[in-house]
Amino acid sequence: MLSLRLEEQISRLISVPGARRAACQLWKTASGPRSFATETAAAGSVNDSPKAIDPKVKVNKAMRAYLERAQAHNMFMKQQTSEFEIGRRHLANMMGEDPETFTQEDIDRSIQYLLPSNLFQRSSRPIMRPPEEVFPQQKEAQFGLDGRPFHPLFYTGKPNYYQILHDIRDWTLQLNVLEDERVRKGRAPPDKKLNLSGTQWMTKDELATLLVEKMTPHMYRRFILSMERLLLHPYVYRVEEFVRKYRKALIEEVIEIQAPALKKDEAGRSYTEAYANRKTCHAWVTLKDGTGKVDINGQDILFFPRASDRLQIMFPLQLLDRMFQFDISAKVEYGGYSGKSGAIREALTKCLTAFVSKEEVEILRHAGLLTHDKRVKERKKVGFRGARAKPTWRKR
Amino acid sequence: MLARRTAQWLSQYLHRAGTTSTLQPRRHVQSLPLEQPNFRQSSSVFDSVIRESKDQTVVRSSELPPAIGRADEPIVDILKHPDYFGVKKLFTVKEMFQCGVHLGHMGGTLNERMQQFIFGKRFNQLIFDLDITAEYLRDALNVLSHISYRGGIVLFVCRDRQNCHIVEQTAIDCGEYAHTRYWTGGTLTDATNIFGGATRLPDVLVFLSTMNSILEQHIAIESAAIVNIPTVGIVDTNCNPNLITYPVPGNDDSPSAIEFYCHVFKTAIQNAKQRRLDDDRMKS
Repeated sequence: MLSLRLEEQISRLISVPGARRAACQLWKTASGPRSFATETAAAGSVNDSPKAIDPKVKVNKAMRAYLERAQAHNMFMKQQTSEFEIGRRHLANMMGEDPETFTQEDIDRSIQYLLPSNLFQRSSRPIMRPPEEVFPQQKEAQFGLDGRPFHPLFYTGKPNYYQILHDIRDWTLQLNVLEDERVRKGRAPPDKKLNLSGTQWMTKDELATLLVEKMTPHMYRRFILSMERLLLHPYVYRVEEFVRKYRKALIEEVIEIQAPALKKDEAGRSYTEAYANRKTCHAWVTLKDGTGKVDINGQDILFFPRASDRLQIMFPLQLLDRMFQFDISAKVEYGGYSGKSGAIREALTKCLTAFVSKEEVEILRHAGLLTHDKRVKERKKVGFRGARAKPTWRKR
Repeated sequence: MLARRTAQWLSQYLHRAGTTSTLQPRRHVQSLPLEQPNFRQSSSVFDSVIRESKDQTVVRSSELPPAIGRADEPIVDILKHPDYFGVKKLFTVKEMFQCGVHLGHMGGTLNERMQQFIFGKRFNQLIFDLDITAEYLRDALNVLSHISYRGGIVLFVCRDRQNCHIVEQTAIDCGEYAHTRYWTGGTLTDATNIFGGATRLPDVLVFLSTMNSILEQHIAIESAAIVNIPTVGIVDTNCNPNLITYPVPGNDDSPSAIEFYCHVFKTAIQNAKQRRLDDDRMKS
């Protein structure tokens, strides 16, 4: 009875399009210079003719065990999927929506509404997702019916990873042969270069996901070292495709700074207004085309008794060499002098962005003037002299 | 006196090895000019040896002993046949000599269990008796062929950084398996845990070097002995042959020697597999 069921399983496994192909696929894609024609062809042929399986064929013990495991996993997943489907429809009814058009987004929204959670860790909050996303993917069978593994480096335990190292060495040797040949013919070294700008190596986790293998930091270091060494070869442009497989495009960080709207007053002078805060201070600043007049809560720059605070306020204008071109009027509340000056500086910089070119805005950003300073005083702790300082300790 | 004795055995040795050239130090890979440069082709010392010895008998798969069940041949018992796969003609002692198989380590590092395979010492470098080596290598090749013929899994093991690539390539070329990296303890003795399920273990382990990266005996040798997997191993003068089922005394460091072993192992396995196909075709 068991054997009958197993045979059924085997034929099903093999007739499922891509089941076995998927098992081979990874190391097929990972395989570099040489193609393992015999192995892949064998896998393909079984796929193409599912009836080719002979019921009398001997199945290796390892394969038998795998099939049983796979069967159990499939049953489990099937059950989970049906439960998820029931849950989804039930949730839709609870929310008074149409179960037919209830998408994953609706589920997330409903869960957030029904089970509100203020847990800081997002992964700790309640979720409801399809079982394929919740339960880890099982690796496909790595060996055939006779128990022979598909991958030549299977017994290393990390065949896909070591295949890459093997390929790197293989390419290096082949490029060396090419280089020797060119040198013998008296050719100059190539002027072609492999341009990898705008890309970076895959991270450890990305590589581990690609290879479906656990990756230790040591393994990742070895991979990067080997790859970097390959990149030093003068003929490396020949293996661009191989190198690019393990590189990812850098996502360019686009920072759009929203400048406040430029307005005109009755006299036709353009001005901007901005708000900023620092520590406990709030500052409202108006920057107007002018001659360098300063008005802070009705006083001039001497509102600040310390020179450092005055410098703080003037620094953005000084940096862009726009001193005495604007009139500043600020209303500032609460806090102390350094908080006030910091808040005014930030609001003033915001105002300034509306008057200056994009390049100058970049200068301001690089100087850190457009970054909000979120530092605040740390509270005093009980038993401590301050936030961290301990009282003097004496041996009794 | 000593010099005279050295000269004596040297001349004797050279006579045996069938060459007039003087003994050379350990070889290293040389980039030999290729006649037709080819991007895919890698230069190989062993290729050059083959090319040099064109006049000698170099056996190819087409020149194997006749297949079983032919009309004009009596059916033979494969296991009783002394050399069913023709491994005896796969190589000559001269080829081994040219690849530096005879070169051992310095005298002080000798493992006494290897004394029986040593021919002598030259400038304190130990020299293997290649006649003994050839005998052992042929035995090993015969066993390897029989295992391959029956669809066994051959696992090539080598922990030598310099030679690991060619070992892996050999395994790939003949459709077998290689393990040239860090050996996780329990790969053989606790395979179910290591591979996450019942796994078919290799049927024979072939060690191109029985040492690991810190010059101690490879753990896999002991593991294989525990789980009763036969082993074939190249044992140098500083190695212990006791736990190896089919030891082959010889140089396990020089790339030229490793290339030689890889070539004969690969050819033997490929021939045995081809033989299987031929025999099956004959039977059906």
